[in-house]
Amino acid sequence: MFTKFNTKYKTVFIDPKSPHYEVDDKVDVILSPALYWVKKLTLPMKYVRDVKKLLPSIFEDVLPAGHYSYSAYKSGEDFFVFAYEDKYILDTLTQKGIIPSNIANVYFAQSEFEHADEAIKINDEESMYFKDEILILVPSAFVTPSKTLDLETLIHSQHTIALAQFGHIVDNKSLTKIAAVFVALLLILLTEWFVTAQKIAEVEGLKEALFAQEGAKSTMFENNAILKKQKEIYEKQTKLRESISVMLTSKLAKGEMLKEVNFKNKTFVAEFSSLSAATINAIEKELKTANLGFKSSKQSESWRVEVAL
Amino acid sequence: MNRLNPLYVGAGLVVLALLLVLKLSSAKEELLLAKAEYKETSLILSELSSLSSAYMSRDEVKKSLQRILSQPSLKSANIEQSIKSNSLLLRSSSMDKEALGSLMGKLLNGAYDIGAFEIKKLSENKASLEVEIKW
Repeated sequence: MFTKFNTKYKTVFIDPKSPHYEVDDKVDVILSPALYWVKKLTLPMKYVRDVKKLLPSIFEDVLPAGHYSYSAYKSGEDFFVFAYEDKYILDTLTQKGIIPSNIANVYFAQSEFEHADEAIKINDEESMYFKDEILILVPSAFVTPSKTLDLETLIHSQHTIALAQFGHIVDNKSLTKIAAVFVALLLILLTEWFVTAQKIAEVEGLKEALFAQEGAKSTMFENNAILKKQKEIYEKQTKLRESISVMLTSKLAKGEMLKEVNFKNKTFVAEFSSLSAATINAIEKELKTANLGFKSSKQSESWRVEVAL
Repeated sequence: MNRLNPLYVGAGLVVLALLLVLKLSSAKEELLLAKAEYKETSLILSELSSLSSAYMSRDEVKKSLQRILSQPSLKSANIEQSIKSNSLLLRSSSMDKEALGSLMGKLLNGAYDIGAFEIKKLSENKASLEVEIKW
């Protein structure tokens, strides 16, 4: 912090007619009056921030079409207001061998030569001098003699500007608006994401509560296995009862009888004796109606039917 | 003077927004999946709960059979009971058909998990019985 504060950079004066510089380190740049518009105003305002709001309208009728930035500072009771084209200045600087990353501070000549009481020669043809407190460029012939430009002993003012490298693409206000819209969008998305994550956690919580409520096993694999087993038992018991019902409700003629019924290893067996073909047909029909898979066999007087459960 | 190109900032914000949209979409899918899983789990556990309570437990079987076998019509059938670790066996070497009908009616209409049984006709009115009831 202190290092930066105390750093003294080399100063260069930039005018469209300046020579090309060989710059490797950071430099302070003083802009020639040819690179900005300046006005001295007496306004019924106290603060620079209030004046800055008026600057676009103050320069409205003066400036040619372009993307301008504005600056102002107060000197006594007056305000010095500036308009400049960032891109034009940056292009000029680049042409003169100063790339944006090598620019430390940018000053207006107006503020840096404030105490110059003589004309200052900036090149072979032009000099600058104060007329009505405004630093202007004039042909050197008009203001002879002119003293030479001495940047070594110059003490900089506090009036610096920051050049907007991309001001010609989008102005700061639009950029702020677009950024605000995007930030709002991002906030909405983040909120939605947060709410969704909460809902997921809620559903997971409900699921855990359900497990506890039903006294289920901890994994669905175990629960599914138990369910499968329970279903098998249920189906087997249902079919067993249906099979018994068919056998016991079959109408037997006189002399026909049910000798034995048994159920073992998923097979229900009924053995009848002396059944007529009609009775056998009736029982088989009942079994088919009840969708019970069966096989039957007849041996002399016995008729045996097996139902797989 | 090393200021960021607003286009890069814009592109960064767009990429961030896209990433969030993707993340949100994946979270929404996850939520739908979680809801579907919850619904399925709820159905399975509910079905499991109903089926698990469809048949009597060990104590219920014992208690219920004690009540049935104490009925006067079945007392005379001399039905033996033998209890195993996960089942109970009822056996009668000879019982009359009314008692058999009464017992089987109650067993088949009750919530018993019948593991095996065998009924053999001995005569016009008598039959032998062996029933295994599981829990």
